Amino acid sequence: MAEVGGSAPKSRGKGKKKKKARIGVRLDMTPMVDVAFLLLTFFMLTTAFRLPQTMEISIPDDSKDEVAPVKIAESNIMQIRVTPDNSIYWNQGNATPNKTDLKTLRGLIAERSEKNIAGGTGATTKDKFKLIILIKIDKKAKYDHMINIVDELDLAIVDLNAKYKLTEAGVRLSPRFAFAPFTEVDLKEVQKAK
Amino acid sequence: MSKVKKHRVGVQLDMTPMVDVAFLLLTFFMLTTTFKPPEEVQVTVPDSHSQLKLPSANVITLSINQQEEIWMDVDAQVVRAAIFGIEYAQKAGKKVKIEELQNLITRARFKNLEVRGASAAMRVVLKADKDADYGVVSDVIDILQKSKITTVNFITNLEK
Repeated sequence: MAEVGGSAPKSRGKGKKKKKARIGVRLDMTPMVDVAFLLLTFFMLTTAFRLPQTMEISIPDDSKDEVAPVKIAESNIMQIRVTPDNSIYWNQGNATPNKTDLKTLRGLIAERSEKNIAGGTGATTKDKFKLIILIKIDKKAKYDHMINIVDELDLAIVDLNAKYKLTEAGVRLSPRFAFAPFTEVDLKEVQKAK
Repeated sequence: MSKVKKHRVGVQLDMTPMVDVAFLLLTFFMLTTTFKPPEEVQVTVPDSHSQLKLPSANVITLSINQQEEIWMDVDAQVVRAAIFGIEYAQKAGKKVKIEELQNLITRARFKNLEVRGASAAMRVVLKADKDADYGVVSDVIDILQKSKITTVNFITNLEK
C-alpha cells in the first residue's frame, strides 16, 4: 500500500503560474521485507537440508598375514546366492539350495536366526546367536540385489531385537554377513535345486 | 501544579539498512544454490530402509551408472583440482578407469589430510545405479579393500 503524504498543493498568488507542489512519497515496505525474509529463510534452510540417505557396511581388511582365520561350524553358515539371471537361492550348512525371493527373505532370515538362537549355547541371546550369512552374488547379477539383501537382513535383525526385547546397545543383536565371490562351484550347487 | 501529560511519540524506524542486509543475504544464497555444478552422471539409486545421513565433508563419491562407467568426485575443490587438474575444480567429478582408481583414491586421501589436517579421514561413498551389474561394484569394493578402506557407504533412497 502506498501512502501519498506530504503537503497538499497550496495555491500561491492569483492569476500567476501555478507551481507544481512536490509530493513526498512514502512507501510502506513491510510486505516487501516480509517476502524478502521469507525467501531468505527458505533458501537458507534448503541449502543445508540436502543430504542423501546411505547404507553403511564394513568390509574386512584384506591383509591375510596378521589375522588368524576364525573357524565357524558349517551349520552356522547360511548362504544366499544370486545367480546371473537374478534369482535368489538360500541354504544352510551343506543342504541343497532352495529358491526364494526378496519378499520371503526377511521372514526366512528371521526364522533361521531364531532356530540358531534356540540351538545355541551361551549366557545371553547375543552369545547364542552364531549365524553368519554369506552373500554370493554373480558378477552379472544386478547391484540392486546386494542392497536389497543387506536391507532385508538389517530389517530381520531389527525384528528379532524387537521380539527378544533387546534394546540396550551392548546386548542388541547385530547383522553378521560377508560377501564372497560367486564361483563355478556355486553355480553347480544352485543347479541342484531344480 | 498539574501533571505534565506525556506526549505520544510516533516511532518511525528506518528499515533501509535491514532491507539492504536481507537482500544481500538473499542474493548470496540464491546465487550459491544455483551455482552448484549439475550432476554429470545419471544414477537411479536402489531403495533401502537405512536412515543414516551422508556426511557432508571428507567424502569421496564413486558413481557408477547403468553403462558401468565409474565417476569419481571429492567434496573439496582444492583436492579435486589437485588430483584431476585445475580444469576440474568447478566440475562434478571425472570419469575414471578402474585401473587408475586405487591410485586416485590414495592421492585424494593424502591431499585431503594435507588440506584439512590430520583428523580428516576420508569416507568412501558408492552411488551405484540399481541396474548396474554387481561385478563392477564388487571390483570397486575389492579396490577399496586393497586401499585399506573398511567402511563403505552406499547411497540409497528411503523406501516407504
